[in-house]
Amino acid sequence: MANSAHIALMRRARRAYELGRLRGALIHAAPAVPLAGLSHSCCVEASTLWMLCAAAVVVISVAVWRGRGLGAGARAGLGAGLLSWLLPLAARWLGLPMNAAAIPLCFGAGFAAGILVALQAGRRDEQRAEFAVAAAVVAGLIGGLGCIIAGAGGRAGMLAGEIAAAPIVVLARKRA
Amino acid sequence: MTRLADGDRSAFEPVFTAALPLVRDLARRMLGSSEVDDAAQEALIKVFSRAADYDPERDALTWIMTIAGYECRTIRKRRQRRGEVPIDHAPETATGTPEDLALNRELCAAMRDALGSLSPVDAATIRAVLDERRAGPHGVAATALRKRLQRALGRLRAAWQERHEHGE
Repeated sequence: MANSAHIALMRRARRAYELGRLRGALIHAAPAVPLAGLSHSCCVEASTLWMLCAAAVVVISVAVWRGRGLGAGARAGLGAGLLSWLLPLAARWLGLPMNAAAIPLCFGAGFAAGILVALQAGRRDEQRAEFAVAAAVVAGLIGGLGCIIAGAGGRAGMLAGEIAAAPIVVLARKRA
Repeated sequence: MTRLADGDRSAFEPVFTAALPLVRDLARRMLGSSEVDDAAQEALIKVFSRAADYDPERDALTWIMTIAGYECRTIRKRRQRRGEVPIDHAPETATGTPEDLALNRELCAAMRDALGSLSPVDAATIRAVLDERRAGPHGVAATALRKRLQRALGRLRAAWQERHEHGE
């Protein structure tokens, strides 16, 4: 095969590779939309909810498309964020008094997500920082889709819980 | 492949360099020598478009060859549907069970037999169209060729039914 044809084919293959990655990334990001849709039914801040959803879709897509630590982190963050998303919504559906319980519940949900992210980041041999940042951001965004029912306080509580979890895991690992 | 699936772009070139000759060989075996480059390119593009889905638990070579093989089969079927590959010159598949190969040979022989029962004009018309000789046999115009082909295919269908659907 002539050199120029070889280079042209390599470029086409590279483009196909990147497009394939992008397609996979969008598939990973898609669950954010139904999650936001489910929150929408009991959310008064619809515009904030859909902005958070759009941000989650963009961040997950870019991170999974880039791959490596960022991609793995985004996938882990999606799983961890699901917990933070589910807890406040489940409490609401179960009829718990949201006024009193919302912020502690969101803090707890964020804390649990933070523990999960930190534990998984600790198990990685390389690109821990990239993994942790992507996972924390995605978990925060996905969790925010659920904690939004508690308003700004709920979202802040969730983020505080997520941030509070990291040093605890780091300290526990150092002692071990 | 594992690094490429993980998003490590530095692994692209080594994988491309290693996969290209393998996919070309496979395309040559499956499609014959004609248009092997185009088929290999399409197969390789398909492999790379799905590289992000590669499961590190699987053997990379098998994974590449499975995708490329599937793509080559699709190309071959497409070419046969379009009549780009003459029925009586179609390369027999290099893959498949011995039963598949035997069945393929029998089908080709049966088609040659049915074609042989037609008048020389009908047989030449079908062969010419399958060979994509646009002017048709003896320089027949496109409209006339289409009509002649319709009649020839009708007679071929009747000959096939007579041989294979009425117990002969």
